[in-house]
Amino acid sequence: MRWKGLITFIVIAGLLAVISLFFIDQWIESGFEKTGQAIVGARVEIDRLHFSISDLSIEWQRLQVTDPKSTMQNVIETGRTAFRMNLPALLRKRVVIEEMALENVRSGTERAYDGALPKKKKKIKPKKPGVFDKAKKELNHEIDKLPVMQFNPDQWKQKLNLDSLIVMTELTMPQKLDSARTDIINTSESWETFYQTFQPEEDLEKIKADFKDLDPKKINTIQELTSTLKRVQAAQKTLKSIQDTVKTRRKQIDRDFKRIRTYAKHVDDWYEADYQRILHKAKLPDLSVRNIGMMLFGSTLIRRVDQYLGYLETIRKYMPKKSDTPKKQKPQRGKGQDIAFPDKYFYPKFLIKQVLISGQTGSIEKNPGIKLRGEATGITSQPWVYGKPTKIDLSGVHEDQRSLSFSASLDHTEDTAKDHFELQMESVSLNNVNIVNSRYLPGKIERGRADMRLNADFQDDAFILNMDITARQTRFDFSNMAAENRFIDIVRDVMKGLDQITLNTEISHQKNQTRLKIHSNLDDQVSRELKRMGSRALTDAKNRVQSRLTAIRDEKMKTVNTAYENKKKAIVGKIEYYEEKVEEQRLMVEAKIEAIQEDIEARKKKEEDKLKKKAKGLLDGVLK
Amino acid sequence: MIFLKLLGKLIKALKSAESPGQMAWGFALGAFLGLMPLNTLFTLFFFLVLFLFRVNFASAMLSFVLYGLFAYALDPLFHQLGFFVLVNIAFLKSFWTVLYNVPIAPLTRFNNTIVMGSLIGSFLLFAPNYLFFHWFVVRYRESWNGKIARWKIVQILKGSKLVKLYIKIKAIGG
Repeated sequence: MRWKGLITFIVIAGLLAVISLFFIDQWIESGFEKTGQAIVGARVEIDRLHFSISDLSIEWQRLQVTDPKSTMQNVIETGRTAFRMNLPALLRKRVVIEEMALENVRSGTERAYDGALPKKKKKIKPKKPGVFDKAKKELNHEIDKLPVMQFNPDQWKQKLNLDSLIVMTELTMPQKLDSARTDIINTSESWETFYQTFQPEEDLEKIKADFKDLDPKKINTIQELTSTLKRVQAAQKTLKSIQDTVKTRRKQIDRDFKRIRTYAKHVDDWYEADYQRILHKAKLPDLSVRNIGMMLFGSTLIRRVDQYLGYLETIRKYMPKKSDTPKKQKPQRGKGQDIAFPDKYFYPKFLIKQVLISGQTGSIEKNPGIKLRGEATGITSQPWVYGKPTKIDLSGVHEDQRSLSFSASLDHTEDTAKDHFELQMESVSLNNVNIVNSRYLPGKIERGRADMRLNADFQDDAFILNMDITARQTRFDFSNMAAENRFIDIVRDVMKGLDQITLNTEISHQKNQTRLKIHSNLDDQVSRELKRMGSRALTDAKNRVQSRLTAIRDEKMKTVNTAYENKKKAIVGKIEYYEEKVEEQRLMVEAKIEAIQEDIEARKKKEEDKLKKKAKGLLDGVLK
Repeated sequence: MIFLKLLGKLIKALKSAESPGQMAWGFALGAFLGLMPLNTLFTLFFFLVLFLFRVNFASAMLSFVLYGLFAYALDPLFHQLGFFVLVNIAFLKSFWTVLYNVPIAPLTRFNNTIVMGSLIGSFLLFAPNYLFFHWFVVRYRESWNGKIARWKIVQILKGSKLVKLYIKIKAIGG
């Protein structure tokens, strides 16, 4: 033991501790700022951070997070923030904050100087498209492929040549119905062939002839009766064999005709497929109600939803998924991989149990936004260790009746991550709101208010998002909508006349498939106007296609049904006839067997009694 | 300069009466510092051991520097070894779990694959390091001392202005 060495060690360690105490505030501040900057991609600044080692508390006076898209303003700015760390957790290398207060949170505040980070010349790796990128791409694709996007009213005004269209389209329904008829005929022929080889009439007639008039009473001896019984039982066996064949074949016949009947179920699908094929060939647009809403608001909503999905994606990105067994990673050189083991105190690596938030939307003092208040609970890097979902609840009301509420639940405690988001905004001003440039929409909303409700549910990569918007007291600027065609005129007139416009959007993404549904009260109005203004030509054209196709279907179905009914009647009728005949003979043979057996028993009894009587007489003679 | 100073101290120790065992202990312990990441409690522990026990500090620092040069290249190997010990050996899991929940223990970063892998690697190298350096010190004192002093590189180093300057400064400082 070297005491001098120990003293040297203590002195060095003490010196280091003292130096740390002087600089620790700056180190922590710099650490927070660098981590924040790595996440946000723009400058993050903390003013006057103070760490108190006695109670493990951290406090700062101001936090500014630069908006990476607009670096002269902050995406979030907070006032004084204070929190205390849990010592037992810290000793286990876990950061647990019981309560944090974020006061005076604001968004969109002006920055004194540019918050952009110095650009690094970095080789940008092509980003692997995530589920959201895929969803966005598919939604845009869905909009583009809508027939109404290629809407040309002149086209469907042209006279429709149905005969040539039908020849060009190569309908599949008549072919399939012909195949069904052929199947019926072939199946029936195979049964007819069977009936040619299966002729049990002779056997049935012989059995009937042999035993119909059989009367056991007329048979003299038991031996004769026994031999007759054997003959009847042999006939019973023959009948059983015929009956088995009839039963098996009956089942097969039923099965065959059941299969044939399934053709009828598909006829409507074949019809619809041919109908759509003809419409496609004729280039008739499908101006259904859904599509009008989609066409008018599709691209605008896609952009809006894209923005919201982006925010939700960011929130979800920092909530890891549960992983029971650590997967081997390829860590950065010198960093290694931290393996997590079960924590009996349920301390995740990082946890803020509760954040109390107060602040307001908007940036300028003169034009303050909605004052918000709420809390977030269970913010953690390992939700499965903490065992509770992360919850956010924020709400606020403005004097001018505007209100906003946001709630979120991110449940990553189990293998399947389930997230729910809800955003509700009421009485949002639409004054001077620009609409995405579209030749189908007015360029700007001059005046109006809107209520919006957004619900989003995520389960791993699948999601369903509902967005309902109601715009009230709207006045639009139609100047950019050139009178290109009738359709645009109609849209303009309808929008002018409506007191409120409702939009119900549903976007779902599951198994790499994205579906978009938009319904609007404009749909009905525009459809009605379209009809009134001369879309009858389109309707008539469609009706003509439908009538022709219906005639083709009915004609073919008639032959198929006739073949089916006739053949079924013949084939099933014959097997039913055999079933009846066999049953008749079976009952007769069983009755005869029973009668013979009863007679044999009766005669045996009689003989026994006779013998007993005789034996008694003999015994009486001997005993006397 | 620090390196030269350490080298000087080492050569001085090689010539001194310090036992080969003390020097070999220092070299073997220094390997832990060289191979393992420094931002763990283990670093503090091994420095404490170096200060507390009568082991040669200069040989420990030489080993620290030498192994430190290799550590980076050995990272992937340590990661594999650490992952295997922490994840794939089932019967050790309960032990790691207990350790994970004990205060202070997680500050050693034992649950990091490179820390665990390099710790095991250092332990595996402990005996070879000790034996090798013990043999080296004995051999040096017996026969290499004179030969090495005659090496051209040593002559050049001795004659270099930098070394002379260092010796002068050292002499002024006492």
